[in-house]
Amino acid sequence: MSERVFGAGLKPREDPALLRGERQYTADIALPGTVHMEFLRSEHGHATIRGIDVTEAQAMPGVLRIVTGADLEGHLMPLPCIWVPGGVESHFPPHPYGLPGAGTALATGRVRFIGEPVAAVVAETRAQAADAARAIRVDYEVLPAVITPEQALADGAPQLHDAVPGNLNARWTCGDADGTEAALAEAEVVVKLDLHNRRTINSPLEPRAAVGDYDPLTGEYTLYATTQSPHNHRFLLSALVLGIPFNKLRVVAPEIGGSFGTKGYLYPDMPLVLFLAKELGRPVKWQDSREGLMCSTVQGRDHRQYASIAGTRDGKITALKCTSYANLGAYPSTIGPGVATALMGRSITGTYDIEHAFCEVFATFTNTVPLGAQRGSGRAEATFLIERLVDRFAATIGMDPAEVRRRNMVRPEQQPFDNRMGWLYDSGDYGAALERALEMAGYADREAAKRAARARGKLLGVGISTFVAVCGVGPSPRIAKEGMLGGSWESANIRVHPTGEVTLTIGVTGTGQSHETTFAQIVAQEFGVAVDSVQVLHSDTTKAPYGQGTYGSRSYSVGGPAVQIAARQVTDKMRLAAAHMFGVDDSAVVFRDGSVLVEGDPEKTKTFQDMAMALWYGWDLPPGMEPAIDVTTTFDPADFNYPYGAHIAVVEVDEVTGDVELVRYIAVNDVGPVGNPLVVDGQIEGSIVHGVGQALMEVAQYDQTGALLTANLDRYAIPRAADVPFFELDRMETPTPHNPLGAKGAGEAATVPTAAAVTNAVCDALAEFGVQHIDMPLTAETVWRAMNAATTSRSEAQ
Amino acid sequence: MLSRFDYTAPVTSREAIADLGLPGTRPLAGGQGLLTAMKLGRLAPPRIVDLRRIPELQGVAESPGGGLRIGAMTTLTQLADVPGLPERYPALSEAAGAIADPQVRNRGTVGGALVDHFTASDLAAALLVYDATLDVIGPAGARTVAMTHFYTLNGPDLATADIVVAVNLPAPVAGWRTAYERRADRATLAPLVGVAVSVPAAGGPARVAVTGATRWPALLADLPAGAEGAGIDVGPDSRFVDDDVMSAAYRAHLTRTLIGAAIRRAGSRDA
Repeated sequence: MSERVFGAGLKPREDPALLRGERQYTADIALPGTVHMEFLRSEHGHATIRGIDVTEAQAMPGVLRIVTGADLEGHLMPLPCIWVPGGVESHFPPHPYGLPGAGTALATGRVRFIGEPVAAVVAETRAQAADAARAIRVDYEVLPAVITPEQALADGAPQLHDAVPGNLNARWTCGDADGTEAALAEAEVVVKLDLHNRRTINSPLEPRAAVGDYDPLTGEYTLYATTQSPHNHRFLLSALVLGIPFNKLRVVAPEIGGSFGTKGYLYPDMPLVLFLAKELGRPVKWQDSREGLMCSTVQGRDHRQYASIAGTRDGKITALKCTSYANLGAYPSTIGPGVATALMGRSITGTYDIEHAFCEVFATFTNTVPLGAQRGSGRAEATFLIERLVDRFAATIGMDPAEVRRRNMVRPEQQPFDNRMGWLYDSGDYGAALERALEMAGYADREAAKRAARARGKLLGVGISTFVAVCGVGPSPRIAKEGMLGGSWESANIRVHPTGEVTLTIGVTGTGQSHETTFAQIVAQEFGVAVDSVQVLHSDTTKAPYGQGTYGSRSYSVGGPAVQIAARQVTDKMRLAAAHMFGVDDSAVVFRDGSVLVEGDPEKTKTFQDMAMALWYGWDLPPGMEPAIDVTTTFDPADFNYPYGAHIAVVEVDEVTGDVELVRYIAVNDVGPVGNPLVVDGQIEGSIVHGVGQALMEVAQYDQTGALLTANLDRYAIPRAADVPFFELDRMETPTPHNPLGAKGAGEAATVPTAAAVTNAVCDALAEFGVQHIDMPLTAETVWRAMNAATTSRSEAQ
Repeated sequence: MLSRFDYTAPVTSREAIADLGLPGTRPLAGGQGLLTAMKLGRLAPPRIVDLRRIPELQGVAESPGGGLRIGAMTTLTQLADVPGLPERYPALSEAAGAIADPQVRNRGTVGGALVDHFTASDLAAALLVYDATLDVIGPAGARTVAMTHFYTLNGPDLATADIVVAVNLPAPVAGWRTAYERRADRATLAPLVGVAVSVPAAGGPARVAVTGATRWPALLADLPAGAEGAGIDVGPDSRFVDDDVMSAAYRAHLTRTLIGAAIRRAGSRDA
């Protein structure tokens, strides 16, 4: 086989069945005798529960069991939080094992956010369970709520957790505080900017779901759930929530309809369906609704940042400082505190070489839905900060923002580059990505484009945003130092069957990223076999090798190398066995294009299939070699990997209405060598749309009582296809030295710079009005008000 | 999840009126509002009367005076597909084609758009500038209501068990040109501001109706010829809706802007 399979844009093999609705999602699972669970959720942001009366609900048709927080004591431990802000004092709700706790599965004594589960009802049908949940009477004493971190940290603020004084989870810092203060004091130019990177709600097509089953004969539990980390959740649920042996819990992740990070978290429904399945002796199913998702699945972003950038009049950035108030929500989500601290704070220098930088984050609890990942989490908030600041700095010194970037970017010869905040960038030419994007955008001709737009009543703006994003989580010892209680290696198992077909079983779980195609391509390339002969299995903890989950753009860049290493162990075994069969030294045998052969001796060649059969029979193997081909490897990368790129947004703002139209979007990304460009481009386009959504329309809004105003998709706008132009994409492929594939994270990287590119473009369009900054989302009215306010204040000043 | 309800699908309006007289009963037309509200738990009517089998609510027909009679159960897609509609009633054609998305237009009906979605009814604004009337039947008998009088402080002028049977659209008035402009809410696609205009080719004041931006669809005062930009008088901001999605001031600003755009577009049409 001479054609390269690796790197080919094969159409995903799983898509036809997915598109026809023929694959099985968690909600499709219908075990015999299944009963249905529904939650009664808190209707208050903050309230004491004085009593719960289930009398009427309990008597309703079909109702089998109602449980409240009190019923779970002694049965279910609180959920754990496994990412403690590293290196600083931190405070959490309790867990009996001394770990950080993340709240009980059902509220006990108090509710702390709207949507918090108060009771669970199991009935014969979902409708009966929902009706009964509505009939439960809860006697609440409403308490004052805190919605923003600054409210929560104020003197005399309502306190959420006894174990968390002042609602402060941690004050986390990184960088050089004194040096940064000194550099700011000495600088020729200091530009300050206050930013509100507001909260967003993830909107995967499929809301979450869970099915619990229990076998009394074996004492084994099975959880089918929308989890992107089945092995890790197996560990956390068995050991830290249910208190049962690891090998008494099986976790299966069926098809998952999108996640963007949200399904990597533990949620109350997971242990509850298992507990109730055992109690009732019947499988228990729970499926969320859209409105349930919006008030219970982890939300994203939410930083209030006070930043300063300093530099010289000739464009050299000398210092960067950020104080951020991060909103963790009412409870720490499974890895939420790490998202809000390290992933954001260590990333604020972006693609630039900044000698003095410092970041402090006040990670704070409030009466809002718990915060977690959203595609590009932490890094997107940091990139928005630095890329907005660079534009403000450029405007202040009167320099082209592209030129300021050129003068400060990390140069390729500086790689690997220590950003002085904790990340060691790995490879690449950031300036080359910028120049390519500028060329594609026709940046040099932008003034002519602005004039042409102006003639049509449109204000054209061009916004640049560069990025480098820590991805591919990660080396296990490194992630431990960061405060994460877990490993972060990956594994793969390859079985070559006697007939030469292959089964690859991977530790990672897809949520719609075409794993079954891309991973098969790695194996087909290594073996020189048809890609269709490679079966890919995953996501069932009794069948798959261990894996640490799909997050931080790590499936391909950490799981992929494990697959490649396993494949090479297979071909090496074939090579050694063939050398024995040929009666030659193994150094004379090579594996090439699906065959083992001795160079220059056409008699001495055997196909992949021949060797598969020979190893299956095991009749003539070298001494000590085990028969059959069944290889499992694990891979723990040397370090993170760092995809980067440069994006340019071109917008037209209507000078009368403030409407923003994204007319062009140019993106140059380097995610390393690409296994399947069709899949990667799909990821990049989806990532960009995600960022555009935050820039132009998405925002979660709470009122002062903690009520979620954007409680459904009729109030929370997400982008539609017509809201984005055709993307102009290009790619650079610099391998990371940290894994043998050279692969870098691709799933979320392109979200990281997008909101900044769009916002920079809008602010560029409005520069003539004196507009310096507008917080997202840049709705038409927001932009119109900014134009008017600037015009009014200027005319008043005259 | 729907809660339990009784369902009837009568074949005459008389039966429907009788069924609708029972307390708590809701009529079902295309279901695009009612079923969504029920699935979200915002409404839980114990009884539903489906209007789909009543012949007189169906179909679009030429009326004797050169206009159209549009049955209330006509879907929005059927309305947009009426031959000659874009030429005879451009504003109505544009409004019908702009509502929500194709799936909603395939199920949603003219009656539903005027009664259930009245606060943001694209159709209502268009029908107002054409001086349409509605045939209504109910326990008190049949009557005809002008669109200009249909919406009140308390919602559509319908008594319990009243049914909108049809819309009567007068023949197009020679020498008047119409257009419809809207600004959709990004989440719902409903008009935050919808504006229908009818402009005399010979010059003179334009007729203007607005929907979405005001508490109910209404004609504005006739607009003097030549009014532009801030000179377009839409009344005080206080008549506009003010909520978390958009302020009254911006709705008023958009209304002026869209009126200007609609008048320019209408004026550019062949008379």
